[in-house]
Amino acid sequence: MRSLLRSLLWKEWHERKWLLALASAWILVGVAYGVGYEATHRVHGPVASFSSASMFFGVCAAVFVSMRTSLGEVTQRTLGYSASLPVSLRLQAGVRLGGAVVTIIGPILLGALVLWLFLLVGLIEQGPARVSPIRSYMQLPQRPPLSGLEAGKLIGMVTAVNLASSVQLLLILSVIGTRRRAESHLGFLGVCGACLWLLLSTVPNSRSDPNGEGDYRDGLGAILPQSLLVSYGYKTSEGEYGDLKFTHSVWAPLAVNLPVLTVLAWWFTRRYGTIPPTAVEGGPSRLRWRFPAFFSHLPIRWPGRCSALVWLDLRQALPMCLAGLMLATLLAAANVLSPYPHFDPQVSWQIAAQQLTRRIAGRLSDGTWITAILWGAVVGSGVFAGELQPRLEQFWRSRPISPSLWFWVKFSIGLAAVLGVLDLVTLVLAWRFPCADATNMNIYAYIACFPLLHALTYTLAVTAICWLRQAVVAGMAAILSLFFVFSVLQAMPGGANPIDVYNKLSFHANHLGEPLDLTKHGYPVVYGTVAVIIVAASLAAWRGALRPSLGRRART
Amino acid sequence: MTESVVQVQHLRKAFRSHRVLEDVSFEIRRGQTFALLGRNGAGKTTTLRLLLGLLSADEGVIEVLGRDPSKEPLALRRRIGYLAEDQAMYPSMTPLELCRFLEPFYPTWDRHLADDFLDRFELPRHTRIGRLSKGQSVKLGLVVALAHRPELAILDDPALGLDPIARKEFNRDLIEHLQTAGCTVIYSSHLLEEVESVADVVAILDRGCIIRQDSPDALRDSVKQIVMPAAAAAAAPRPASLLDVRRHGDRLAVVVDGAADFLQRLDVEGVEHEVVSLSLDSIFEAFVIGKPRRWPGTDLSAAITT
Repeated sequence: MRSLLRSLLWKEWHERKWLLALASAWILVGVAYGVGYEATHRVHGPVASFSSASMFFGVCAAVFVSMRTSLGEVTQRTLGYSASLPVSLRLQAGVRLGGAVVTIIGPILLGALVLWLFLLVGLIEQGPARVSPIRSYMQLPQRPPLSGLEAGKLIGMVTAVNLASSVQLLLILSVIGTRRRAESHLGFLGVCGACLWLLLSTVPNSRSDPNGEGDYRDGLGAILPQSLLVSYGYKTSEGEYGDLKFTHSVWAPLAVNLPVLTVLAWWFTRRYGTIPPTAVEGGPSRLRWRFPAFFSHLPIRWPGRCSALVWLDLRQALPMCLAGLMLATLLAAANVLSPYPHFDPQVSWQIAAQQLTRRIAGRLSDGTWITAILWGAVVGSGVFAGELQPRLEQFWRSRPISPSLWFWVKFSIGLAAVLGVLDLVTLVLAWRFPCADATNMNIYAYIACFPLLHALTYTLAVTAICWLRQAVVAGMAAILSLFFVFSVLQAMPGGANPIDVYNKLSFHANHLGEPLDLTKHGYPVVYGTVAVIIVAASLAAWRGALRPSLGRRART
Repeated sequence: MTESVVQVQHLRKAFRSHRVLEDVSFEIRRGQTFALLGRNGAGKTTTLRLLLGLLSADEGVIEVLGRDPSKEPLALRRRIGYLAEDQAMYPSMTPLELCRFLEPFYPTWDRHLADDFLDRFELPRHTRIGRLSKGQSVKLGLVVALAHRPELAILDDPALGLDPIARKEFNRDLIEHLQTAGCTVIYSSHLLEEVESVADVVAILDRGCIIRQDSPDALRDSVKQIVMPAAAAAAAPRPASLLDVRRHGDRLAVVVDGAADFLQRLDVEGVEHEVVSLSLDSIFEAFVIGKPRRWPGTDLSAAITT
């Protein structure tokens, strides 16, 4: 039994070592950014920066890793073989889940340790977390810095909350994944779930006592550990910083959360591989392609090669972008509804619904700016991944289809779909339904900034998929690259955080009544660099796409 | 003399340190059906991908329809029909949509022929490809490989994974539609019985080398199994192209290429013998896994006893 377990563990290590390395690199880049920023600005807030990085990593990694964990064997068609081995699927599922958990907690723990070392040697300093009551509030840079041990305790609490939150999301998605047929399905559900997960951490906060003196989130923390920690963002003349606030007790809710995690893990091992392998590896799905093939009945003929490729690419990219738009709409709706859900009983429900729809439409940018940054990676890797799978790649490459034409049409259509469906719709709605709530939305600033950022994520994902040929790894690599680009943009002379540049442009235009001036606030440097990276990355992606994977296969 | 459609000379290809093709040369003439036989990993798929310009050769010369595939792959692919083993097509499209999608890429695409094929193969036009059966997918692959009336059809083990009846049905369709159209065909397979009935020329590829090339009839005439007493075999002359030696009790069964010469020499030596005609399957087996070193003069005791 011991040798059997050793074999399973070795297999797990063999399958996950590169992902683990990539995840560690992601976290270390986040830590390096936080340490660098603190060393430069001295705002006493590196732990909040690490918390944001590890929370974002945890959520993204939970999505990607759950796809691989619950459906990797379905994709690779090895589930039937694994089921025939003289070892129970439950044990195999347990080891897979263990590997997945390590892939998430390992890098976060590594990042926490590295950050603590920096704090211990005194290179940077951390102020204490914000405490209730609110009356005694003092800005973080003014608070006396913590000793190394106290900072270690703070890091420990932040890490524990983020670990519990990430692992719980991983487990929930993995359990869901055991009843899905394809990684892409789970990926879509995972991204929606991740957004909801992040949203759930803010909703309880918005409903807590406005004085900040009472707190009832302790109990909620047992099932939603992310609600145990609240992050606040501030801007001062010294720089930006994040402040942290914990509920009255962190360890007790986390202790109660442990059985929740255990039950989810147990549930996963019960459900793993219980769909018959033939149902997932072979024949047509009952649910797949259930919509009638409308276009097949239309007598459409494509006049040229480009139009045929455009049609193919639109079919692939548009549904993904529309899904992104739905997600963005949900986020915008949550933003509109969550702080003050107020309905006037004097107003008829039709008028109320109309007003609400107009407000959501006007504030769609609240959801799209961030959704499209993440969704760009999903669309970028998604539209290319299918046709870069060896069997389908062999099909189109063996036809008289120019790989360059194929790449540039696909790239352009995917990009146009992301910008058209997410940004253009947002802008049209913002222009058509101007909303007083959307104080930080300026249409012209949005046009100047966000399409470029969304194009950047999309292009990075395309580059990653063209070179790596694996959707999951490519998605992670794209997000990691985005973090890296943001860090470089902030670190370079005259640079800044691209989101901050937008905020400043928007603020000056909306509140100070200044005309939009794209020569200020670091816009030329930041967004000029973004444009250069987009061009360079798209050329790199093109080179990657020209390289067929056929020759790299062992088959002869 | 009919013109040459494919000419390959001294072709070599390696993937990093793994040599896949070693000095491969062959020629295919217009209208011929050329069967490339080989075990898994022999280099069949690599050879065909080199012909299509999907891979580039390390050394050697390839000319397909008068063009160099590495320099003009797209122009060449417009004139070639290709059906790969275990080929995937766009699962969200229907057969009709796939035909419409591919049509602009082929100047010679014959819409009516494509429709005709869809009818003859009884393929549902408006069912998504992801829902087609394996047999239907292979047939659709054949439709899109032939609807532009290619001058050369390259079929890389197309019937792999089909059940025996579906394989026979597929080969029947293949013969009907390709050979009657006078199309040059390269058919790669490791199943001999299906090649036997369609091939004009058979080339046996083993460990990256073409070890024999001829028509199936000529191969059957040339390669014979000769059974003789094991004791008498020691005195018999060693055949020039000995492929396999097996011992069955007190008798020795040898497979020889160029059997006529050897039989003549046995007659001269007065060795009693019996001649057995072989199927293409057995000929292929003798070429690929035969043990010619077990000839009595070398080490008879090591011969396989069955």
